[in-house]
Amino acid sequence: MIGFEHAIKTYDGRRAVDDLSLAIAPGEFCVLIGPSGCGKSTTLRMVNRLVEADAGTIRVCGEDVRTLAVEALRRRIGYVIQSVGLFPHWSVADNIATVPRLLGWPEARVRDRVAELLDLLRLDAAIAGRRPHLLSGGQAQRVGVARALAADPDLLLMDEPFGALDAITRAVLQDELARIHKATGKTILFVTHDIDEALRLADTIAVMDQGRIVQCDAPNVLLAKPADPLVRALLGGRGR
Amino acid sequence: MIRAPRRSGMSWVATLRAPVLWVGLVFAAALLFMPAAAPLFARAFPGVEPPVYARVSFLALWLSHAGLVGAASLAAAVAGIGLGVVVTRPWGAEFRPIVESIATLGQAFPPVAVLALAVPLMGFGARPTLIALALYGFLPIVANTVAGIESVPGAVREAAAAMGMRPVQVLRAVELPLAAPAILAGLRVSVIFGIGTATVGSTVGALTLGTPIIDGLVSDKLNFAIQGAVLVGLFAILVDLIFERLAARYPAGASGTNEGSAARRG
Repeated sequence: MIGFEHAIKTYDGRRAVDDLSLAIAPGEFCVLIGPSGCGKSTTLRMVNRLVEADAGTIRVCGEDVRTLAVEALRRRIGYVIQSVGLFPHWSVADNIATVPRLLGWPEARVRDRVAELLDLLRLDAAIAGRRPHLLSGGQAQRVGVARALAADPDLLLMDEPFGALDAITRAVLQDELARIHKATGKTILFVTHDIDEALRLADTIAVMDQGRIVQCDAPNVLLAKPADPLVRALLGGRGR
Repeated sequence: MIRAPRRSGMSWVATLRAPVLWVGLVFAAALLFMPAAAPLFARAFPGVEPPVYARVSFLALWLSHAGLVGAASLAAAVAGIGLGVVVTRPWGAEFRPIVESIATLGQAFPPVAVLALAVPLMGFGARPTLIALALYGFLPIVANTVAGIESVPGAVREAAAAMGMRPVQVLRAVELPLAAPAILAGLRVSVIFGIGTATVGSTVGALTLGTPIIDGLVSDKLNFAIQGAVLVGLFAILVDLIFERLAARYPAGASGTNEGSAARRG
């Protein structure tokens, strides 16, 4: 579903992403994890071309992203960030409807889809008309996820989506996301620096350091055979 | 124009209590019925003839005054918002220092100086006044447009792009609506300054509510000056109240966010 082939991104002479190759299968939940500055967000953002790779190829559904019109590509990919980025002047319903409206869906279908997503994210239908500043942090991020799922993309990019939430809300939303992943079969590329979150959600964990992937394995393999002192440090004694 | 209040809380009682209504009525009465106050001025300024300025009707003066300010503000708004948008685009960023210099220059030049420079080129009348007012009103609008667009949180801008909005859609659907309160505030400053400053145009022959003021000062008829000044003051207050009503249409929180910083990670 997603393929990185020798992707490179350089900022000020420093390689943020250094010859990175990674393949993510359809329906896979892949978590990128690593210390700050390891290039995990940059890697994620190269998929929807918020960051353009300097070299290498990134494929979505087999297609080189550079050959696609950037807006069309982004409308096919859900995107969720830590600071949510809801449009403050639009209602919750209008926020969720962003991509369907960009795609020119008929208004009746947009309305049905918004209702469906409020339901999927267990949001009270009464908040549909509310402005984002009236939402709690957890509600806002649920709306953020609903907005990303609105046009039913096959692929979801999530950049520390729950990083700003309190521990309880975060755990609840992690469960919701696991449920949604199971129910919809979306391919998810998820960035975090929280190893517990990664172990909880991932089918595959890619540990990154200095722009490279240090180890990429299923959580149980990672726990059983950490390939590197960094991975061992990251696991912090879990799994034994 | 003020939108008629529609919410049930804004009943006709609230409409009656709105200051904009009363200031509007007082202004209209002063504009139309100033001659009726002749005995008052005759008593206050004995021996000054006539007691009320009568060379041109106050209504005609006001229409000309409002027309001048309106045209100048429209020009300043089109140029100010347009250039504010241009210099906040990635491709227009290099013009930003130039635009800001021009705006500051326009503001730093006193309108009287612009008039003094413009008259030899354009002759007497409304045109040099129009130029001076437009130049003077440009800065608050362009500065507020830039500030308003830049106040859009980075996360909101990023989300808009990541949803697949084209740059022009980001501008129209996100940046301009979120910048609207700031742009409106700039327009308000610009127009209110313009109403006051336009009176200076009467020194070069533009017909404004400043005409009786200048006449009165030149011919030592203080009553004329007072009549003109009261009308200009009421006009400015009325327009300011109308802007206040417009600004109230943007609810608190509509442009603010409950969202954290958009710092880059990873």
